[in-house]
Amino acid sequence: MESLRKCGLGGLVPQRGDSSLVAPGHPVVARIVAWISPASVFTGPAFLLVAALFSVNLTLCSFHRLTTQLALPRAERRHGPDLLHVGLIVLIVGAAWSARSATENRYTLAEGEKASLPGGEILTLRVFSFERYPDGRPKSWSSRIDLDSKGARRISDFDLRVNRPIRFGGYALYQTGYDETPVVALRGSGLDLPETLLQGSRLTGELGSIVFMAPDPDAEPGTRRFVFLADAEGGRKVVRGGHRRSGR
Amino acid sequence: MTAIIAFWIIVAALVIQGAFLVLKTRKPDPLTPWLLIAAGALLLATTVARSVAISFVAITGVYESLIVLAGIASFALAAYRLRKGADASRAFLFGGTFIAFLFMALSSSPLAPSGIKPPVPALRSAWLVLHVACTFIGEALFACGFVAALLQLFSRDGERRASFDRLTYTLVAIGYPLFTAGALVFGAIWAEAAWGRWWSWDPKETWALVTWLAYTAYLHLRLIKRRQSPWLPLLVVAGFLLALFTFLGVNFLLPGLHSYA
Repeated sequence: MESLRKCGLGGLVPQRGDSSLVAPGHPVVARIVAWISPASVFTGPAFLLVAALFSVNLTLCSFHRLTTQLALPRAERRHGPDLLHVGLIVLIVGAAWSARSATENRYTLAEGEKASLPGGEILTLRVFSFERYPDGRPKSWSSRIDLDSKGARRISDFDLRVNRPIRFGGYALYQTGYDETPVVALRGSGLDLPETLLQGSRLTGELGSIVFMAPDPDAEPGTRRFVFLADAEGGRKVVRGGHRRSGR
Repeated sequence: MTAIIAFWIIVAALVIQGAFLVLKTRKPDPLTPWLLIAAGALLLATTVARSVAISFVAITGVYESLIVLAGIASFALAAYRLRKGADASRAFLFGGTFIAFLFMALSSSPLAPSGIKPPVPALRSAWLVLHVACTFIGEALFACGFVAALLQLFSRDGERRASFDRLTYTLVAIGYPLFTAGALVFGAIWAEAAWGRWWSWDPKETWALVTWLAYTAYLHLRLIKRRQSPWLPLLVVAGFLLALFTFLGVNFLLPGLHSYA
């Protein structure tokens, strides 16, 4: 029953979240919520203790059932439940092993950017492509990646998609999300400027400053335009630029 | 169109069964199995036609899920009626057909838009077919088991109660391994391929586990108590209500990784 209660509680409250955000402005409620820890029910000691007891119980009962069945004449044996029980035990052992040994990292890359993996390998996002259905829902999105290890290219131009991860040298690489951040390409002769400016960023230089504000709400259908505020000696100007996408 | 015809066939079956329930005959009506088979075949045809239209198996939305559930329940009830012949329970058939009717009525509500839409990238996987198909067959049998458990609960006659107990147990015993394989095992394998985690304690996963625990408790309690416990049919009733919450309630109330399911 404890297990059911915990599952129910954890199933109602989003997990891995910040439980302090549940009742902002109400310190007493926030303290109670933090004590119950609804956002981490399944990694808390109470649930793990119940799960451990269940696992021991399951193992002992499965062993008892299997030995009882094996004592019966062959024609009377029913091994379906044994199969299910053994499968559950394997699942629990596997989950415990994964929880102890596996680590998870997230990298957000724009096209052309690189990330260094924990083993020193270099992950490069070559191209990110995205397609939509006519109604605007995502149709497909993929990241073409390279992976270099010890100075040699191990994976070249792999098409990483949802439901199509790649496994290499103990790693499993998944494409889990995407974001579109408008970026302006700054071009100007004689200016000591970085190549790009992300939305919301301000860049200050000798000639003044520029803030990338937002996508242009008045852009014509099918076009992508963005609004910038550029302050310089000549006054404030609106600048329009292109964009590129990033994946993670 | 085929789904609408199927809906009216189920309504016709329900009316005929209702009439036979109030008549002073003990035999079930002869039309029910054929009407249910016709409704099931039309719902299957609807799924096939929608699958052809989107070039993928059309079990990716609430509407499609509901008509699949109604179709499987119709086939299961027809199979029961044909197997049992004149001994088939009229009340069970009526209750089961009413559940299929409810699934169809829900499918025509605003909660289940019937527009044909190709799936988002996350759903484009062969695992979807195994995960969803096995889960739905299990849940459709749980729905029939729910009706049998209610009849068991309210039967005063000991023989009838024992008969409904056997029927409930049979339906749960067939549905349980399918639900286990579909909802938990295939779902976990697919989750590993899509998200890199076998299990994420997502609301849909958690409530599927709670549902599974309820039916697990039923099977073990029945094994231990040998039909003596009054909790047995109550557990099956609770199990189906949990399955409904997992299927519909979580979709509309609890956001998570399965928000499209």
